[in-house]
Amino acid sequence: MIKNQDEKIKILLTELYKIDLSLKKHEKALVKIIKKLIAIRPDTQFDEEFKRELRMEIMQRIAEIKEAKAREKAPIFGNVFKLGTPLYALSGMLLLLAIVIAGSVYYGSRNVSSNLDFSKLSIHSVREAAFGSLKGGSNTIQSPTDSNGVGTTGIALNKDQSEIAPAPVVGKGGGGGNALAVMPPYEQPITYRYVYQGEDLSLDENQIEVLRRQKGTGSGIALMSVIKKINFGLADIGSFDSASVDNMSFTQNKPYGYTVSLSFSEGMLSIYKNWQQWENNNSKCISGIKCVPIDSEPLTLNDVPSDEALIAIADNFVKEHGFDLKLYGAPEINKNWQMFETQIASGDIAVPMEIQVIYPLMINGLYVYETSGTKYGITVSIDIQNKKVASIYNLTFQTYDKSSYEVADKDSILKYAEVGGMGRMYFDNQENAIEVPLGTPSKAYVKYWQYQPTGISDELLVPALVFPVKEKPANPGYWFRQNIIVPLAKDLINLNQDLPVPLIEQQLQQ
Amino acid sequence: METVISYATSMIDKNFDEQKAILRCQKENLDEFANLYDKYARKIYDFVYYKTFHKETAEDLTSKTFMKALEHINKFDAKKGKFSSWLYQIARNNIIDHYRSKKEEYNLAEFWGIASKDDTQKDLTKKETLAEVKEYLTKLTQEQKDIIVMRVWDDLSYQEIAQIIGKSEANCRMIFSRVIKQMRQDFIPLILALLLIRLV
Repeated sequence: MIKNQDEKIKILLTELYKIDLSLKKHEKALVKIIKKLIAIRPDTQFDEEFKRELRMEIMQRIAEIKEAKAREKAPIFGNVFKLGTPLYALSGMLLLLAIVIAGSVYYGSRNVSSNLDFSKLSIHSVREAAFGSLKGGSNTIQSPTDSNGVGTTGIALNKDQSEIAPAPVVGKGGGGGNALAVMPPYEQPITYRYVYQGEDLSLDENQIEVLRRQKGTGSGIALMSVIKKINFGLADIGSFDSASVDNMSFTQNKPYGYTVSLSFSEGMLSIYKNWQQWENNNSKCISGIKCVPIDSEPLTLNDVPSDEALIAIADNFVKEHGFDLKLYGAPEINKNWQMFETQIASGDIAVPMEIQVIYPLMINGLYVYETSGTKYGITVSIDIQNKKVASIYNLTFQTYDKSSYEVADKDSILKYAEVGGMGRMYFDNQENAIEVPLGTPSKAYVKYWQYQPTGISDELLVPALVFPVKEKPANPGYWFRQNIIVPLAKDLINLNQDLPVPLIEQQLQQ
Repeated sequence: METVISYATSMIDKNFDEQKAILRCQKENLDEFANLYDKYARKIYDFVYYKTFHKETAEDLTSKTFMKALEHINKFDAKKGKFSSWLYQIARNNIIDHYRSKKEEYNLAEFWGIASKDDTQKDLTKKETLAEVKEYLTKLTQEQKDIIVMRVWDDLSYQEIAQIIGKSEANCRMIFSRVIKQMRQDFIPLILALLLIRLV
């Protein structure tokens, strides 16, 4: 590898002299010529995003090749062992971590580094329709974390209320609670009718692969087996049989320190402020009302750093702490908090105390979306006042089972898109419906919570179509839906069950 | 059925052993191919770009190159040459196929207009001579151009160039030397003339 221009010229000259030593007397001229040859080298416009995307495609192809080969070789009882392999791998990794941790506890070492393998994607096949009805045991209620709102602070609307009220509602969904409370009198809900204006749709597959995330079963047991061997001096930990470690956390005790929590049962790592070490204006806020710190002015739009600055804060943090983001796309800012256009125009908007930067998850080269139409991925929440990362969530082990499911027909998919796709709540107010045009969809996954009667929910990634909203309606009051998400699984599209909700007047008449 | 896509092991570091990675790929541990991709993605893209001068085409052909290499990794034989040469050879064949399908030959001449990002634009003499160099290169044979570009822009060794274009290493060195020699003879009078004009 030639390091710099001078070195390169020197090497080229040496090579030339080996062929014809008489050239040496023209060295100055030769140097000029070589320099010119180097100078006219064009800029190749190399795009790192292209490199990353091609890498994903290659990895996908590798997965396909391996799967095909495994299928050829699979013995009759092969699946039993293959099914377990990712769990063993995960357990092994965590066992190693456990040994490191246990070792550090035992010997008092302070310089322990662990390599949590959150950047590894493992997918293994199980039988067809192995996850049962994708709708789960109860209705299509979604996770409270899948809100259309801002997340940890600010105004947050649960998706099921997203098309009901044209005004902000305090603290509904997404853990909101610091933002301005405005509860207007009842107004006629708006119904949107989405009109497909894209290219003719063609579905080239009868089956899709639905993914179900494995949440790290067994890893807590592996860690427990090590912890049992530690002598705590007080009690015999080993006497608690059939135990497993659910969570592990540690806290930085320094200004602006963090608490890091690893959930073995959920296969999830979370990082959040150590509240005792941060300036905490929240404690001075009046609950349920826009957060106005007692000693300072409320945040204004001028306090919000530029998009570049927000992304730089997030990037620096993930780099500093060695996050491997190979499974994730370029960071994007969640601007759902700006959905209230009229308030932004007047400057009278509750600026959230934290704004989220999302590194969107990519599986098999496809983005993963929330049912609300927002990309899903590692979410870095930036504290606007301190210009620091406040928390990181949605950092999960990417280990999945995959199972085939039947694809919905084209007409049902389009009908479902026209009523607003997933996460909608539309009212039977067709007379006054406002039309919203939709463009040609792209393929993606949608993250879907499959609720079971047992109360245990599963995290599914369902292949879906993402229909972009071509033009948002005029003066909607607020508008956050950039995309309408329609799952490709037939099981999740049942137009006969998802009937419009009657208006209050209609209900009263009934 | 299990498919494991590992990104954790794909970090290219100083200790990356290319030969071992290739062997592991050939022993069906294809995840190692990610390391090879990380090492060569930019190089292959640049190599293709220098012959197409079109971003989208370069991306498309780079993609085809790596996909082909992945599918045929078992056919690579280290005894016959370096892995890099094998990869560049695939890229070169893709470029040739690309131009064949378009029924045209690749030609640097029409693309020099988009020029390089050199910082010598203020210096008229340099600018003029750079234009002359570009013009001069377009008059070379395809083989001469390839060797100059591969050696000076792609930083490929003569061993690699020889394996890619199917000539002997000594022959490649000779061709390069002759072009430079000829350029010296053609350009020194030109540079002197330009300087003289500016002084006058």
